[in-house]
Amino acid sequence: MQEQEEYMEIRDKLKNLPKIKSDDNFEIMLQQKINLAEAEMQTISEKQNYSTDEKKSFFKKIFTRKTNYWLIPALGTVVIILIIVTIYYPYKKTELIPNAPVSQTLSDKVSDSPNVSRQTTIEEKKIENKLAEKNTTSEQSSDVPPKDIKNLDGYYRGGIEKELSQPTPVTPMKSDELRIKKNDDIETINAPAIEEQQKIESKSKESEQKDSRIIESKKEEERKGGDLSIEKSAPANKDEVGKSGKLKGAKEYKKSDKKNNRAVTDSTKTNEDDLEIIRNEILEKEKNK
Amino acid sequence: MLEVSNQHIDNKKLSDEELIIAFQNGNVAAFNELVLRYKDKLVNFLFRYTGNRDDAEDLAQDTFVKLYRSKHLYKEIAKFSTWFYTIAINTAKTDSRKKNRYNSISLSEFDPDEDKDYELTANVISPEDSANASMEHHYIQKAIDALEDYFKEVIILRDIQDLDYDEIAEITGLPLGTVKSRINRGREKLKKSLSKIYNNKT
Repeated sequence: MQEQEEYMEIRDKLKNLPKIKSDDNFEIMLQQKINLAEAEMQTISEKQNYSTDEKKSFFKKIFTRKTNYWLIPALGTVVIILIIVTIYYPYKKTELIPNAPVSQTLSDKVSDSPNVSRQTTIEEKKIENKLAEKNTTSEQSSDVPPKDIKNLDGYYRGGIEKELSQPTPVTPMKSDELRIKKNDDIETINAPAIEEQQKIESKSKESEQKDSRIIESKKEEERKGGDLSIEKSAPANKDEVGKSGKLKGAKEYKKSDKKNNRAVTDSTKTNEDDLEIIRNEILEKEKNK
Repeated sequence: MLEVSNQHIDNKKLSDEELIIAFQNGNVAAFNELVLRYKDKLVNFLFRYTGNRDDAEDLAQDTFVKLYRSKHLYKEIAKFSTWFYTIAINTAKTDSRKKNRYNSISLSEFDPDEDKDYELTANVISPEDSANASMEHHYIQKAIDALEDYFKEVIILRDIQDLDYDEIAEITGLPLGTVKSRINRGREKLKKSLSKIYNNKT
C-alpha cells in the first residue's frame, strides 16, 4: 500500500493522459491491407496447388489405367532391354576374350608380316614360350595315336607303350618362329616348341631303331630255329618293304597291317600283351600253312 | 439488411472470445466487431509505446491484419485481449528494431580517433502531436519514451491500459514477481525523469 501511495501521483498522471483515438480512415486502410494480404495468400496457395497438381498429373499420366495402361508392358520391355544391354553383353564379351586364339593373333602378326621387321620384346618371348609349353603339355596328356604310317609301324613293332608315353610330334608352324631385328639383320629364332619337337622326333627315331634291332634279332633267332621265315613278319617300315620289293606274303602283310591298326586303336592294352598277341598270330598263321 | 443488422446486434452482445470463435467459423462480421472494440485501445497503447501517431496507426492495422490471417491460432485457453496485446507488442518490437537499424548514426566516421559508437535515435515529435497534446502530457510521453522497452511495456499495460498483473505476466511471458518489480522500477525511473524535466523547465 505504501508503494502504491508512493507512486500514486505518477499513476494518476499516466491515467489522466488523453486517450488517443484512431483515424476515421483506419477501417478503410485496414480493409486495403487485408485485401493485399488475401491476394498474397491466394498467390501462395495457387503456387502450392500448381506444384501439387503438376506432380499428380505426372504420376497419373504414367500409372493410371484409363489413360496409358499400355505403358506398363512397354516400360517392362524397355527395362528388360536395358538389363540385357548393360549386363548380358559385357559378360558375353568377357567370356569370348579368353577363348580367342591369342597365340595365333600375336605370332601371326609377327610371322605373316615378313616385309615388316618387328622387334620382339622379352615379354613377347616369354608369352610365346609359355604358350608352346602349354601346347606340349596338352599334347602329352592326350592319348590319341599318331596318324602317320611310320608311327603305326612303330606301334606294330611293339613300341606302342613308348609311343603312348611319348608326346605326339607337333608340326612346326611359321608362327613359332620369331624374327628379331638386330642391327638391321633379321634373325629367326626357333621357338622352344620346335626344339622339343625335334627332340621327340629324335627319340622316336631311336625307338624305331631299337625296334628294328629287336625284330632283326628275332628274325635271326627264327632263322636259327628254322621255323619262321622273313616273308611272314612285317617289315620295320613301308620304305623297307618298298626297298626289298619282292616279299611273297604281301597280302598277308596287308591283313596283318589292318589288324595292327585295330591294335593301335585299343590303346589301353599293354606292350607285353600286344607282343604275345602278335606272336600267337604268327604261330597260328604258320600252323595254318 | 435486417439479417445483417440483427447479426450486428448479436455480435455486440457476444464476448471477445465468442467473437473470435465466430470469426474462426467464417463470420466476418465478428471480426468487424472486434476491430470496432479494440481499434482505439490498440492505437492508444501503440502511440504510448512508440510516441508516434502514424506509426501507432500503421502498427495497429498490421496487428489486425495478423489477427485476420492467423485467426486459427487462437485457442480458448487464454483471454482474447491477452492474445491480441501479445500480437501488438511483438509487432511493435519488431518494427522498433527495424527502425533502430535505419535511424542509428555512427559518429566514429567523423572522429577516427574514437573507437566507440554513439548511437542516436531519430525520434522526432511531430508538430501536430505537440500542438494537440498539452505540454505536461508531452513531457510525460517524453519520459515514457526515455524508458527502456522492458519497463515501458509493463507500465503502459498496467497504468494506461489498466490490465491485471496476471494478464501482463501472460502477455510479456514473465513471472508475476518480475512483472511487479519491473512496474515499480519503471515508475521510479519515470518519476526521476519527470522531476528532472520539471526542474529544467522551472
